[in-house]
Amino acid sequence: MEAKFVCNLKKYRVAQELTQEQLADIVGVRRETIMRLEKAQYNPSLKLAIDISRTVKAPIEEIFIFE
Amino acid sequence: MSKRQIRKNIFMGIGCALLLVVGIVYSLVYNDGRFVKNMNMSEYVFSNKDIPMLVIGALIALYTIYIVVICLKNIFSKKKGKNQYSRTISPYWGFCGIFGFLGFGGFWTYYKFGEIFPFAFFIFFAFFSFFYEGKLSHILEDELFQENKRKAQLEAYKIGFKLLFVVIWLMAIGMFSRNVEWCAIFMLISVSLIYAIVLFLSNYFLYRYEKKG
Repeated sequence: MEAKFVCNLKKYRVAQELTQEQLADIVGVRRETIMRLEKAQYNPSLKLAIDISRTVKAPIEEIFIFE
Repeated sequence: MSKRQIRKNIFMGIGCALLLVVGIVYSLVYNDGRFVKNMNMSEYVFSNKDIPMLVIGALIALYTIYIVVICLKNIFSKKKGKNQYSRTISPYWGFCGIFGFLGFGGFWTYYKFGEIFPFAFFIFFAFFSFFYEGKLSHILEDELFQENKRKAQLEAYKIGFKLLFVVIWLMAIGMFSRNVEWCAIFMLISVSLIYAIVLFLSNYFLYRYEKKG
């Protein structure tokens, strides 16, 4: 059975007062990628997950959850 | 590759072409046209007069190897680079796909001259994919884009292989078996169209995956 993917990125991004565009620029991806991540439609690579976690200053396991 | 390097390579290419012309003139005038006119290489005996043609041949071979190495180096260095963008291309290039209809000219050339190679022009239908590639022109190829690209290519290859299987199966059960030329034509048309379809679908699926969200 496939694990359900939940993404809390939006909560942490807004807390850091970052727009999707700004976060995308910092981690080196497109805004569309951030958008898909927030909708939990895309499973990021470990590198991207770590970059995002460092940028929004939150632990990976709280941003990306596999239920 | 810098413009200076490109210019240098072009001049070297022109130099090789000039050397070849000089070599051909030399061979025709002073060396009985050896290496220019048809000759049986199994009966070849070395003569000092052959040296200029051999040197020119070696230089051209070295130049060709040099160009191939440079091209491969550029391809790999591009892949290694960070923040790559998709190539900038206008969707209007998609109209070049109309050239694919030239493939139908193959029926005429086969009927008139017995030539079948124009059937290969069906490959040009692949140019229709520029309509979609143009819409994804100059965007950051991040990991999502790369993943979608791989997915799109895989899907297109799957369809291509399925079509190829059908074509091979039709040939295997003896379709056109009474006429070898018809077999060749059928294979040429099929392979050209499958190639065009795979190239087109790769870009079409990529566009669809990218715009899905």
